[in-house]
Amino acid sequence: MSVDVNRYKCGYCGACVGVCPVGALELVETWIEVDNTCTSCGVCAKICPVGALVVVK
Amino acid sequence: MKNRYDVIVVGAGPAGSITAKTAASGGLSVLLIEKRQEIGDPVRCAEGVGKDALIKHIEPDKKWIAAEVKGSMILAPDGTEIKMSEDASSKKIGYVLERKVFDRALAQKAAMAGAEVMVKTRATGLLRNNGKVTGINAMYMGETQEIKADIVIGADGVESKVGRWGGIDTSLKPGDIETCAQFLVSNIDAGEYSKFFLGEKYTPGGYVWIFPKGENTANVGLGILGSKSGNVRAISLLQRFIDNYMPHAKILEIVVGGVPVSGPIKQTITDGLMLVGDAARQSDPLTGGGITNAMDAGKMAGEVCIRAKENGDYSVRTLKEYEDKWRASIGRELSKSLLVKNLLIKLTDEQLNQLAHSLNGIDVSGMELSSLLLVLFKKNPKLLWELRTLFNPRI
Repeated sequence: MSVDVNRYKCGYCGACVGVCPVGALELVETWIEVDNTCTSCGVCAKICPVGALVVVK
Repeated sequence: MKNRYDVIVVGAGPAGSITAKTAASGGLSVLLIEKRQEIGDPVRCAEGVGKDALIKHIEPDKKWIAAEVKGSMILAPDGTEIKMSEDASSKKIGYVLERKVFDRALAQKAAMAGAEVMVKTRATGLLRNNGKVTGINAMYMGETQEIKADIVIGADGVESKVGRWGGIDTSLKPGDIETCAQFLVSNIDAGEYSKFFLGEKYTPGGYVWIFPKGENTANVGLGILGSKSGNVRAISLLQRFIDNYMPHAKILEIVVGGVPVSGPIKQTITDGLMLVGDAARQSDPLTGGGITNAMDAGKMAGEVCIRAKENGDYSVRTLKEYEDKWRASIGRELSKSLLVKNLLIKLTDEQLNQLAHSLNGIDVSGMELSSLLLVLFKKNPKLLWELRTLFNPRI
């Protein structure tokens, strides 16, 4: 379970990081890293201003 | 870079830089780190700020002031205008900043006060000893190292990790965040007022803003309350607004971001750790404004760092002074704004129009937001009953 980040769309704003309930995401300069604690809850994808995140079930 | 400081500040936005400057001015050894290679970039801000609140911290400089505005204009869904805060002498009351330059200027102030500044340096975790925070793990240009400190300041913005590492739950629920998009546009006449367009017809649970930046340019953006976004994207709604209302606008820059609108969170300190600015969720839930709150909080935190050093005590016993001070000032205002925000997001476009119409014949041009709310409450007590605690109970 994880999240796919479309790096060509992402505006690297960090909103997804702020809403992740388990702290699985991190913004490193211009890319989002997702670690293995991700539960695919989908909050990050819902909040992304540009639709750069897709939950992988 | 040394391997030990009195204070490490993580994040070189306004909150972090003012904390660093204040602590360094008090003689403390301070390290200010910024994970990006350029301070202030990319911008994630509408860049509007009140003049009075800003000049408490820094002398205005035309290098980072893009434009001055006379006041604010709120537009109801049917187009009814409410003009506020226009001084009789047309005194300019707010600035629209050039954050890329402003943030760097603040960091420079911190550096001039004695703080060490390191860019492209990312905190990757906290050091602890007996449960107390004693420094950070940092990565600079791909190399990791431990840096110790008596106090770590989390000024790492909406995506704050420092608080979470310290055991403070700063995670935002969808209803606690505005998901925002903004274009810097040219080829428009932005006027001399900041404009706010309210209503579901523009965006759910947020507003559209137009902040003039001079020379036929403006920041045009909008926020959607996360809990109301559904499958709608901020960037799509913004593009629709531009297409409908300013089709000749040319887009020079895209800015996206999330603004915390949770109101005061339960905890912003732990032993050896304080959170400031967006990391402490100190942005205003109603307006989304956070620059001057961040600077105020940074000053308070920096002063408490100095006190902690004097006492040789970096536990919550000493740091609680920061928590108490910001809650009594910034926190009180955040709570009021949260109450208003929570009511406004429930109102229909028709009800918003009704509120605007109730001001017909009333001169609100010199009013601050609090005074305007009082007038609105008096005119619409039934609609705004939830706000009664904001005002004198005799009303």
